[in-house]
Amino acid sequence: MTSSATTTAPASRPHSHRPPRLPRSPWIGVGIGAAIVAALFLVDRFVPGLYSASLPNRVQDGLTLSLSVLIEALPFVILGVVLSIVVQVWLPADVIHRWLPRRAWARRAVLSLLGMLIPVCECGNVPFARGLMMRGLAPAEALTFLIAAPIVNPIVILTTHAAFGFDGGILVARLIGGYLIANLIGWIYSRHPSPDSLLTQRFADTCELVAHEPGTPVRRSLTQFLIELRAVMPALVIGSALAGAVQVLIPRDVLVAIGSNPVLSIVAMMAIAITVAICSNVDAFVALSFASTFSSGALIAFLLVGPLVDVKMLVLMRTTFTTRTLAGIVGVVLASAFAIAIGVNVFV
Amino acid sequence: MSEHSRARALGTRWLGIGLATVIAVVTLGLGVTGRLTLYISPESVWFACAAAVVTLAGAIWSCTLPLGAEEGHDHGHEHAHAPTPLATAATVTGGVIASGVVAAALVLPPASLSVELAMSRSGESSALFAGADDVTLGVADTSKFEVGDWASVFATATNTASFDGTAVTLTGFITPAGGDGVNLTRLVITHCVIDAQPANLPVTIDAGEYETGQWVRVTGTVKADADGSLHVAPTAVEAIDEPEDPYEY
Repeated sequence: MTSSATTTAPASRPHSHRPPRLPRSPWIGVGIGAAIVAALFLVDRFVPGLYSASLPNRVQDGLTLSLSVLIEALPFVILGVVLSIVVQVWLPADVIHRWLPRRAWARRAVLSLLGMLIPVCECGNVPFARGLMMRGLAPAEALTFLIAAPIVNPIVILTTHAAFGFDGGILVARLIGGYLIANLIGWIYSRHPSPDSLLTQRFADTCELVAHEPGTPVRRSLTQFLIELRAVMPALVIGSALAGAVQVLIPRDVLVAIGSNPVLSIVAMMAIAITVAICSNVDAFVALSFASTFSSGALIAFLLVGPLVDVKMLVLMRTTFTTRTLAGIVGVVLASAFAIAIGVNVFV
Repeated sequence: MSEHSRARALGTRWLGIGLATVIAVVTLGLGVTGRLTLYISPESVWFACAAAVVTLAGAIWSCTLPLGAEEGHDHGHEHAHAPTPLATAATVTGGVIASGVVAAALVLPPASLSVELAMSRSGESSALFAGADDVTLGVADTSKFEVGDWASVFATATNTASFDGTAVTLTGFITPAGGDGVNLTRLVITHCVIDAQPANLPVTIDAGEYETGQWVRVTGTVKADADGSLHVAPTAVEAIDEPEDPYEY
């Protein structure tokens, strides 16, 4: 921190609640930032060449898988954060409420179709949903969006159609199932007596903070950028690491071996869905590779459970919702997916 | 600002924009040297790089905000809820793990997935990939086919005789097949490496001739057996180093 001659002595600062934030030329900050980024580029360019140690295969595979998720997801998270800033800072406060229907169930029904318009995949949905809640959307309504959007969106419809066509009702069951599960969860949590207790204390603090945020919209945008990245990035990195680690630690052939039993196969595919944590954009192709081993119902369970409650999403959602809330969501998703899958296995 | 709150503010910056910056630097570093396809499919490279540039611009810009500026201001009341020791421990542990992962990304060279991983996944695949429709319709140009495309043909083609005698040049690595033959294997990626699926082609090479995991370039023809299954009959097999683009997309 730079100092200037006009303020009190530095000794009076430490316990002050209002540290004198001295105007510093923004160019100094830009210079420091550019220097840090340049240093990181140099480290990235030269340090890997300095030694030739290599990790054991499994550790290296786990790291490669984690990084691939991380590199793939970061752009969507940035996009989600930018959308969250737009909603939070730049849209007039009442615009969302004016657009949405008044009746609670109709609002949720519309919100669960929002994914058709918002080009963000499931990782980016979390910061976006946080932005919606900071703008006054109820937790149950944000949850409805969060659960529906990974399935009810154009890219997922296209890739699922590319993989399965209309065979076995998989595409239709996935879309309708995702829509219904989201509205079911929204309905259940809308009946919660104190909706704010669904949210973590940390998120409540953040909401309070941004509500009182001073400054120009530009400055608030930048602050919001930092706040949202702080909330989401550790969860994204840990979620990706978990997804990578699980892939190399849990032998998939054990789960696949259960494939033939009509009930157990559904359970096995749900377990695979939670552990592999693949983007909903492409999970249909992965499901297709299981198609010869598993029943249609099991594939649908995989396609319903994976986008909603896989390990990476759970860690990301934990930034905002309490563990208790998440346990409830997981329970509802698993039970509904199981019921739909059994229905498909029996009737289709 | 006290030493403690300064350290806290720095930690907050690091765990947010800091982690994002390192990943953006790694992304751009790989993108510039053309190695980003070791992690994600070529289609999403431009998107990843564009987002990385936005991230870095935001990171540099954010340095104009004084440390701690995003952590709130004194609005006349103390926050009653100091974090519990457990919550602090969880934050620190999570922070250390996350920092370790991105630091590893920064200082370790990128690597492709191991042969063991490819083999552990090979049992589940019926090798149907995006674009398989072109293959079954017979509209695709087979001269450009790689291992993944042929694996789709081998798995799905009904009129196998029509492919008999087609000349192929294929690159992949050797994995053991059931019985005495070997497979030519390549990992096929749809979106990013976590969805990698192995494509296997039976090739008539003696099982002991090459070690498992050895990369080879096979020149030969497709042969249809009497029972309707297909395999590759090589005229030349050349051992090569792992190619720079180890995956197919």
